[in-house]
Amino acid sequence: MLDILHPNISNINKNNIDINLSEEKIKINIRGKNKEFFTKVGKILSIILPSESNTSSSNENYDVLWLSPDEWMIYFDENKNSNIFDQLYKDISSLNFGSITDVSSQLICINIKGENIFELLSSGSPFNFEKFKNNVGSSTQTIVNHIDVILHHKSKNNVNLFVRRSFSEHLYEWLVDSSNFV
Amino acid sequence: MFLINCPFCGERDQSEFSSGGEAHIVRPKQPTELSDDEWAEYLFMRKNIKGIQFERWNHVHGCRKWFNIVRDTSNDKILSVYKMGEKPPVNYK
Amino acid sequence: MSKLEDYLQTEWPELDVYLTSVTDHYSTASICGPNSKKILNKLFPNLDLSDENFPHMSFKEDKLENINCRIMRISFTGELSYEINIESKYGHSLWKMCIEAGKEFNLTPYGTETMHLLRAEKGFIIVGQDTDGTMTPSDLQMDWIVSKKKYDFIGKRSLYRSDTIREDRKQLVGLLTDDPKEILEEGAQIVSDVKSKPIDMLGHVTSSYFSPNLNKSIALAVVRSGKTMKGQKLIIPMENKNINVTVSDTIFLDKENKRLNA
Repeated sequence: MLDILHPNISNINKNNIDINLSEEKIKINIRGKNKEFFTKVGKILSIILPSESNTSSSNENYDVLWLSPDEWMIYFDENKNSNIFDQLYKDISSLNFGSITDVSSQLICINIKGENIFELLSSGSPFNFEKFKNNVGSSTQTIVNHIDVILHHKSKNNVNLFVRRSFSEHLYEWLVDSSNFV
Repeated sequence: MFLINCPFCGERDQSEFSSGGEAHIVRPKQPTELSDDEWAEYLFMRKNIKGIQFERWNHVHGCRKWFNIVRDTSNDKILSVYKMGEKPPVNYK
Repeated sequence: MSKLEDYLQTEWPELDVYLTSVTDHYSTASICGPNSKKILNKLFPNLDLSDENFPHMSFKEDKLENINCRIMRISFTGELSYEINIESKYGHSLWKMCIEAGKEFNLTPYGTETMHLLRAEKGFIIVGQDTDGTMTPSDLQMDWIVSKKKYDFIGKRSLYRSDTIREDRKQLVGLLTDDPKEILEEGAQIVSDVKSKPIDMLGHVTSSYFSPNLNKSIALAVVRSGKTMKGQKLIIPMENKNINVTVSDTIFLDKENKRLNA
């Protein structure tokens, strides 16, 4: 087996903020708009894609985030179901019902939890977290410290942040540094 | 700085968006048939109005969707937001 | 990709196309040089690397210890060269395996400055360094890259505006200094006559290096009507001296592309 090298992100805990690298995770970007697409996805994942903006759906295996009216991101632990990408690809991409793209290494998942996480994120983001922090399950794309991120409010005061791999260590350094000031 | 109501994501800060200039400029169907002047009209000529202007914007740091707005450039008030392909609201014409 | 997204959503929304960035999903290792095929063969023993099966400018898929790879035969250095894409979390492993497999061939890592020198010897442009937004493929003597068959494509009509078909546009040329040790400054102005004032500016140097392969200084430049000036003497006026140069072909080394198929 080839060795895996993750970004240099270690566990930090300060000022009621806990920052962790949260790999191994599979992330799959899915695109589509027709009826067959929704039927196939629903069948394979046993989940209904969220149609409302800034929301997500979850079951015991998968989290699905709304990204745009025809775009979602599924993520789950690698050991849960490793051939789900192949199934989706075969039943959707290959048949031209939509588009399935593996973005597992495109995005790095950083888990941020604790009472002060929304203060931390707010300090570097134009996004208004008022509604977001009161609704578990909400998701959004925005910018933090000028970097594009996808945020998922997984459980109370517990957010999964997805960031492009090449930006991940830099954003992590910013998060750690900024935790000193909340 | 101002807020823009993305027709897909809701109200967001302007810094999440990028401007795409004047709206409703249609790419000619047969560019090869056009004279230099006609092609230049499509390619370069923009109104840049002081007052009510129809503009394209992209929620580039969000859902990545393009849409149109009606903006008063003299005070940055956004009067209307509508999706690509939709007709511009008549009351601002 | 944002320009493609713009066209897709606003000009051609009826197209059944989705765009998803995978830039960070892949890491790339590039192996260049006459021994690169032998190193590739050690990494991918089941892949047929013959020129018939895997010619220049084509790509194959294969596995490295069960991990999917995309392998492109493509070259920016002018050497026989392959680029291997792998999911980026395995990028470091791929790198180590390449170094290990290349040991017996004296494989060595090379940096971007080396890459830039090698591509300049071949006359390969860097978009944004040797070009700006005003230049056309024709200005770069790259007319071959433009399809003559397509009825329309983005930018086609602009290729024959009265301005873009002018013969006295700035065009890409090579420059050789009369003194082979003299290295030109990138950005330096190019003139033909320093006596009549004001001095008429013809263009500027866009890339300049000392080439150890050729043991002389080479440069790329954009010069007004440059296409027709091969062999002509020009002057680069500097603060303390005037440097004499001769307009040359843009390809300084291996014009026959022998190294690509070494």
